[in-house]
This record gives sequence, C-alpha cells and structure tokens, in this order.
Amino acid sequence: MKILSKTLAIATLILSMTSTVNAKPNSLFTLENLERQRAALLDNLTTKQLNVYQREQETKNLIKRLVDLERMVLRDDRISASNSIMAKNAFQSYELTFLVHAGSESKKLPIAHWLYSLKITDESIAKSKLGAR
Amino acid sequence: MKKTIKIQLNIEKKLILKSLSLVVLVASLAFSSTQIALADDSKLGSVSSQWKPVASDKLIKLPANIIEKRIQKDFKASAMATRMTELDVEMQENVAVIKAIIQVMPELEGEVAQNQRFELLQYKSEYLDLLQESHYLHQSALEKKQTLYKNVLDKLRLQSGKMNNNEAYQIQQAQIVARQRMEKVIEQVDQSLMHLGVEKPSSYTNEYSKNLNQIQNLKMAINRHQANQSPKMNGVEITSEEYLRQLLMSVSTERSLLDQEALMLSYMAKLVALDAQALEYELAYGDEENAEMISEVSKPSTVTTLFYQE
Repeated sequence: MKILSKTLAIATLILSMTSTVNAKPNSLFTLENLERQRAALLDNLTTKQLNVYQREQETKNLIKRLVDLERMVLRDDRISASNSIMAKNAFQSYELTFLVHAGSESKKLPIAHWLYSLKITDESIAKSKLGAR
Repeated sequence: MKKTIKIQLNIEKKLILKSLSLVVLVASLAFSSTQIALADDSKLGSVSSQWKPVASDKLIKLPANIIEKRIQKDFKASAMATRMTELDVEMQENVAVIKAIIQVMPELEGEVAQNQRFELLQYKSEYLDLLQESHYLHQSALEKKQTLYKNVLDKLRLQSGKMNNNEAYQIQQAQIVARQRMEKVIEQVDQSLMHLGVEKPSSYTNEYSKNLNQIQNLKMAINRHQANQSPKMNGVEITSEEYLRQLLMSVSTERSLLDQEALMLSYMAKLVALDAQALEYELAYGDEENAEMISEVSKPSTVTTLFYQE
C-alpha cells in the first residue's frame, strides 16, 4: 500500500513537472512580435511623416529591438514545436525574416538587405507605377 | 500346497500387471520420444499458463533498457512464469528421487530390483514429461519475447520515420540551421550595433549571457542523470534501436540453445524407452543368464561326471 501511494505520488510529480515545462499559452508570441517590429522597420522606410534625422533615430531603435527579437525567435524551441505555417515560413525565408543577422552576413544594413533580397533596385522603383492593388 | 499356489498366482498376477503397465509405458515413451520435436502446443501450454504481452504505446515511450526490464517484470508476474517455477520444483524433486533409487539399485536383487527398475523408469518418464512441458514453455516465452521486441522495434522505426517526415520535425531542423547561421554572426551584429551608436547592450543580451552558463550546467545535469541515460552495451552508449536489435539477437541465441536441448531431451526419452523395452523383454522371456544356465545344464558333456565315480 505504501509502495502504491509512493508510485502514485511520483507519477503525479512527473506529470506536473512535464506540464510545467511544456506550458505554452502562445508559442508564437515572440515570432509575432518580431513580425510587428519588422513591419515597423519597413514602414519606417516608406513613411513620409518622418524627416531624415527622425528616420535614422527610429531605425536605430528598431534595429536594436530586432536584434533581440531575432535571437529570441531563433532560440525559442516552442516556435518550431508549434508546427505552424508562420514558423515554417519564418525559418525557410531566413533572409527576409532575420533582417539584421542576414544583413550582417552580406555586410548590408537591414533595409538594404531586404531590398536586395527582393531584388528591388533604384531602376525597378523608377519603373514602378502607383496604383490600387 | 494351496498357499503356495495362491502365492504363485499372486506373483503371476503381479507380473502380468507389471508387464502390462510396462507395455503401456514403452508405447507411451516411444510415442513421446518421436513427438518431442513436434510437440503439440495445445496440450503442453494450457490456457492457465499463458503470457500475452503487447507492444503498447506506453511501453514504446520508455527508454530501451527499461523496456527490457518492464517486459521481464511482466513475464515474471504471468501464469506462464509461475508454471515454469512449479515445473522446476517438481523436476528437482523428481531428480532427487531418481538419484536415490540409482544409489540403492546395486544393493538390490531379484524381484525387488525389478520393482525398483520399474519405479525408476516411471520417475524418469515423469521427469521427461515435466522437462518437455518446461521446454515448451521456455520456447513459447522466447517466441513471444522475440515477437514483442520486433513489434517494439518496428514501432520505434515507424515513429522515427514519421518524425523525420513530420512537418514539426522539418521546422525544428530549419530552426536549428537558422540558429547556427545566426551564431556565426552574433559578434559581427553586436559590433555593427556599436557602430550605429548603440553602446549599451540590451537587458535581454545581458540576462541571456548570465543565464546561458546556468542553462548549460542544468542541461549537462539532465544529460548525466541516470534516468535520462541512453542504454549501454559493454559500457558503450547505444541507440534504442541498436539495443533492441541486440536483445533480439540474444533471444535467437537462447532459442538455438533450446533447440539443442530439445535434441538432448529426445535422446533421453529414447534411452528410457529402450530401458523400458529391455525390462519388458526380461519380464516376458526371463533373465538371459538363467536361460544360459539351463542350456548349460542341458548339455550332456557338462553333466557326465554325475554318472560315474572316479
């Protein structure tokens, strides 16, 4: 009887420990944050509301935050375990998702790297037409 | 006179009964010795002495060395293992009786010796029956273990195959590759941040590097933990699949040894059958030495001295 209660107690402990480790309210939270910051960086590039100095300062802040978020996403095992399309796309498109680290590899600023990855050049921008999508 | 006739009749009756039972014993032994190799499963393994292990998902989740222990524990608790232990005890008792009879045999003569030989044959026959049942149960247990290990191995392979093709596994691999790529440029990125005028590292960077060492220590403790260790074979760590393959190999080794034992068993049964046949002939046709003595007496040359005086 004593052994049985001991076994039960151990089993409960194991169960509670594993559930503590695997507790995941939203496993994609960090990735979503990264996407928000990335979108903000790109928006910062195209917005007309900022002057050059403001744009530069804002970009610095965004890059600083992006560095941390990119590292957090790449180190977070819960994201790959989530089995979501968002996570799959994020890791498959490393060049576009992890702009700061990928840009550092190609010795480019994050924005320049993004433009380069999507093959957006001065010429292609000049050729483009404004219109509704 | 009447008393002598009665005694003679009793002896004859006994002899007839003994020879009858010997005929039956010889016949059954001859039959059983030929049937040992083709042992009828339904007769030997009764429903009460069975073991039905299943390769459940719960079993597969356990570490390989624990799987083996779990199967062994399950087997020990089965009716089959209980019957095997009972048979061992019965065989030990039988062997003790056989040894005792063999020890006293040289001191006995005449009918008592014959009775003892008859008893000895009966005990030997009983022992062989028990040995045959025990042998069948051992063989059956090994077959079941082999099937079980095979099923566990198949399920493990299926699981790892599924895992390799699994979407989650592929995402995990993609993350690992991306992480390795990031690790290579971490210092470069930190330096470029300084160039941009960001001199203070973020709180995440500070805390992360502080925690990293502790995390590594904890990880190492987990890897070293005995409950998390990989199975070992001759002191070398091996995979669960490899461990199960080794277990399967040891089962087939045991099975081939059992086959050899089956051959020994059939030879022992043959010998007991021959002993019984010899005893049956002896009871039916008398002792050869006596017959020879009679024939000696019937030769005139051996009795001529009885007819004259020197």
